[in-house]
Amino acid sequence: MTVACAVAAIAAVSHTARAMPVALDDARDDELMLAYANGDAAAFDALYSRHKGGIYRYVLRHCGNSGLADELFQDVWMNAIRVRASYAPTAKFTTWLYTLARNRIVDHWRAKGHAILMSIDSDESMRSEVDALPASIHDEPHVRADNKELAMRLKASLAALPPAQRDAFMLQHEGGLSLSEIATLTGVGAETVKSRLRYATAKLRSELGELREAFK
Amino acid sequence: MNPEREPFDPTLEALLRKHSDEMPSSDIDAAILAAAHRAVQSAPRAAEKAAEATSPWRWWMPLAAAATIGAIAIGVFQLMPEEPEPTTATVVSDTPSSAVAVPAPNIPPPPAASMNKDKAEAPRGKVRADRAAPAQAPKSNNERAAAPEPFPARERDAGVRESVGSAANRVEAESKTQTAEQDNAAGALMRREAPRAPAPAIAKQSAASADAQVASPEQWIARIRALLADGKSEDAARELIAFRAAYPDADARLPAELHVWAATVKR
Repeated sequence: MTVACAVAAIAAVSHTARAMPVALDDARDDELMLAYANGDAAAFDALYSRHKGGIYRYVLRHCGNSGLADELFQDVWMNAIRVRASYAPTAKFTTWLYTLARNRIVDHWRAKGHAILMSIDSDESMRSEVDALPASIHDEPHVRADNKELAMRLKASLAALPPAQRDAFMLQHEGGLSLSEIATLTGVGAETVKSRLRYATAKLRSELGELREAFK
Repeated sequence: MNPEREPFDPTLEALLRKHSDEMPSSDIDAAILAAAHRAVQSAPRAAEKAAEATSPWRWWMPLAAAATIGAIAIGVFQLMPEEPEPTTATVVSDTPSSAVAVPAPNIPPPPAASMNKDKAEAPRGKVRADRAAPAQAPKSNNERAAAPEPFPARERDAGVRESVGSAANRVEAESKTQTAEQDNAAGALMRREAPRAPAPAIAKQSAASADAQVASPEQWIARIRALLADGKSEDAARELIAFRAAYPDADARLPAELHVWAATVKR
């Protein structure tokens, strides 16, 4: 009878552990994803609430079309739902999630026949070519904007960045990824990522400087 | 500045935070969340059922294991040999002195088939007898004999006969059991006749005793007169001796004409 009681206790503990919900507010992203993979739908709600804005803007900045962004954004999350069982917390959850988003964007542009996100500034020797890129129309001095216009100008400036720089900048800004994480995600070296970020920041800072001057 | 965040412009970051706030529509949110909930409420359940079908620890398996262990434990207890207890001695000591228990060797051996059965049932019978013994203690001999007892049938029959207390029945029971014992031997007939075939002298005494029990003094006297008339004086003397043995005052009962002759017969 002792053996039977031990077996019943093990079964009960196993069942309890499987059904035990996680504390959603304090849980890490990977814990929420594992909980969702084990059937806790509320864990997905929390996870989606945390990352929906960043993923959406990341997709939107790359495609520039809200309709297309909606479609791709939905595909990213559907893909996350579909592959939840194979999720393993070997890396940061945001790295995993933004990899899904980036792959979806790449697939989309490949299907359209465009080669985007390829680096044109991975080398310091490309600096002149980056600098030679046409400036945004918003760079014109006569542009005067209010707050709304400032936002539009910022977005336009981001859209005007070379895709690789924009990709690195958005991964850092929206995803909160580190240099090494961005390097891992994009498949390039950390120095290349650092260079892309430097170019993107300098470009945007110059945009902001002009805008700030315009507001004065 | 964090080298991992370098190059990082806080002003640029703040501006972007303030002015880059696009969010997916509520319709998209609802569609994605609904899909996520459906995924864990439908497909995962099917997967869990499939997993349960092959899982070695389905919910009923601990119960089945417990039931199996319990059944095995009960079976082992049933099959365990019990300690030998002095059942027979107890029963024999309970019987009164007038009703002597039939000795074990006199019990005829059962057939081979029933012997195995008796062997298998014997321990349980003994246990039941011991448990019932205290309750039977105040009963009378006849009640004890009539009450169901855990003995084998033949032993039980013998016990009933003993409880009647009749010597004749006892002898009959003994002869029956002895007869049953000697079914296969040629000497059985001799052994069966043995108690009925005494030595000649003893037989005569027994016959005289038997006659003494049935014959009256007048009959003794008539028989002695007839023997003397026939000239069988020796036979007449033996009859007188038997008559004297049966009746101590036999000489006083004799008629006067036999007194002289009776005086010649030694006592």
